[in-house]
Amino acid sequence: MATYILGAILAAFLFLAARHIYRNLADGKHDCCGEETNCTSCASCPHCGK
Amino acid sequence: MSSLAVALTGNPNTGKSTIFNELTGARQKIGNWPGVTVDKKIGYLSHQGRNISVVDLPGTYSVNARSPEEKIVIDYLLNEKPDLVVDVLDSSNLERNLYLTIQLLEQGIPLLLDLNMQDEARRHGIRVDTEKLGATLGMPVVETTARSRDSIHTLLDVFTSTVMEKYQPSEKVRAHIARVKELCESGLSADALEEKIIEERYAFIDNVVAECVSVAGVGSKTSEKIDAVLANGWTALPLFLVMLYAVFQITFEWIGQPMADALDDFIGGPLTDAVTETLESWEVADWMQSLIVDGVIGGVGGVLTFVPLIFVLFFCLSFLDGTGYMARVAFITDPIMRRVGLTGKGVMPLMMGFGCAVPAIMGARALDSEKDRMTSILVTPFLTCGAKLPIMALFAAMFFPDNAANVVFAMYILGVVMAIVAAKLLGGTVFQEQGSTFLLELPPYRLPDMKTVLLETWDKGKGYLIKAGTIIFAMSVLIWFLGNFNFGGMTEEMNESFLAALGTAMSKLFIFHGFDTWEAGAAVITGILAKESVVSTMGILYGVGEISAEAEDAVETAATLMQSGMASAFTTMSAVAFMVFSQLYTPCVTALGTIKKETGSWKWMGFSAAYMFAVAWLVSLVVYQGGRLLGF
Repeated sequence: MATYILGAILAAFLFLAARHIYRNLADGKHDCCGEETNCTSCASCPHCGK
Repeated sequence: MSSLAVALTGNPNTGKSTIFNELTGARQKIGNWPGVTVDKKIGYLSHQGRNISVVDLPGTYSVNARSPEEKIVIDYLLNEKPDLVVDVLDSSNLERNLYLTIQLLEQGIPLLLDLNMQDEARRHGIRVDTEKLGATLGMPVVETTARSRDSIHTLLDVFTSTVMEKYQPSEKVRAHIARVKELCESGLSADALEEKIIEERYAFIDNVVAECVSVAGVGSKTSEKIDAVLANGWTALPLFLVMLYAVFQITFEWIGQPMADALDDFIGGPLTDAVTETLESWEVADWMQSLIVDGVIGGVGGVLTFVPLIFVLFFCLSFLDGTGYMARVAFITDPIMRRVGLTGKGVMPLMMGFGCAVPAIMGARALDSEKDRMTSILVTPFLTCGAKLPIMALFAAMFFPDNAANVVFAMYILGVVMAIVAAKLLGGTVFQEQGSTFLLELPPYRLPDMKTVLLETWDKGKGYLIKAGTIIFAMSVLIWFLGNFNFGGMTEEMNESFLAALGTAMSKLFIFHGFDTWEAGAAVITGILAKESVVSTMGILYGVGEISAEAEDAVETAATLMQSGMASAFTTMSAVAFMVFSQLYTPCVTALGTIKKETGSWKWMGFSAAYMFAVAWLVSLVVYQGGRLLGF
């Protein structure tokens, strides 16, 4: 049972991670947002433009 | 609630970004060198019952629409027509700053003047009669010191309550505008007209300054004294290298590495043991235990171990940036940069490359000529970004435990040298357009604002943490799957896995480099997706291998297992060759995507990926075979 529960938790995390990566690719975002790009947050990042 | 749209404009390095941060509470890059702002930024706040949006426009010296920054500013101000334009001026250098002001007034843009950096002006014995200045120009004027919260809140109160319609340009300003209009209609040639208008503007500025500014002549000369040493023609470059070396010692010997070791011990020891025991007590299936311990903890934990190094390095660089020293770096390196066809201004984006290639590639927008911009974009990925740092740190600690900092420093230098060589070659072959000149303003030395330094450090490190929790986590699970499965299902032998097949195919390229193992080949492949994955791949592959081979030793820490597995897979020379290759080869997919976006060309993206792989392959081969010939 513990195996299934842990499997479900890992699958959920994996889904969230994959969704994050997919959204980054789809929106042209990157996780270095804020890193010397002059952007204040993803909302105002000139690269993300969102 | 009523709304108010405010735009901040002004020369570079006048404290606009600091004011913007303080007003909006947002975090962004606050550089202490000119040209830090390369695009517009928006922040939001509420004050006195009004919803206020603040736009931080790029710093420019004029609005002739010649550079991208100037075009952004003038287009925004003329087309978007914000409710209020705050012109932020450096009070200690009004003559230069007022040039932009008078140009904006000529365009009919009403301004609120913010005389910022009052503290520095006073230190230089400069006093500005704000009332007289306001009356002379016919606009509201407020004094601020960007780092003082009270001062910024005064500015906020003023611009929230100011009704710009009450203000009209003074008689003096209207007369100046009329003279400029006359000149425009005089039929002069374009060059002569521009010259005449510039003369007219400076005559106006001289007149205003003579009326409103007094100088006591008791200014501090501290910056000049420091520059006499740090920016001196003979001592500047050696001191710059000493400064960089000190940063590496702090990061890899004195502060960062001990913290990384402690974290490594914790993840590889108590954390791994506790998780293993818990999973066993819950009777979790062996494959799931392997996935969690070897895959997730081995992969993500292996990358997290380097978080202290990343944060300490970025703290040091942010601190130096805050002091004003980084602006001197552009000055110091200008002669070298000119030899490769660039200018000192090109150093700014390159320095960003030590954090992450993506913003560095974007930062190249600030460069004036297309040649400089393209060259900078194509050579920046050679530098050691934060994601490559763990690769260097891991191999240096394993194979050169007594000289780890020196070896990592050497890899950083290699990246810089390769970037310079590539710039020279590209400048002489692909981009032969004439290089440009650049105007450099050296800000005074300041004690950095620690809040800004810490926020910058967090911003830089944050991306690394997010990547550890997302792409590295996903990659770790994927690598674990590829390393434990083949077409027949789950396999006990990793040598027969999907990953081994992929790694073996890639490793054929490195039979003369000393690291033609399938594990190294697999790490090279995953490193193209994200450079951190090189370390997490090594963690999973070598950690798993040792545990399955020596089950009785499973109590050893994952780190120790990883190190012992790797130690037998690499010789000292092949480790150096692998470090060199990792330092120089194809940028990660995010950086490649940014190159595509910035150049607008698949061709340049493909060129970047291919030529960097070729350069890395060649240099790494020369290093390995050269080392062997020399008897290493």
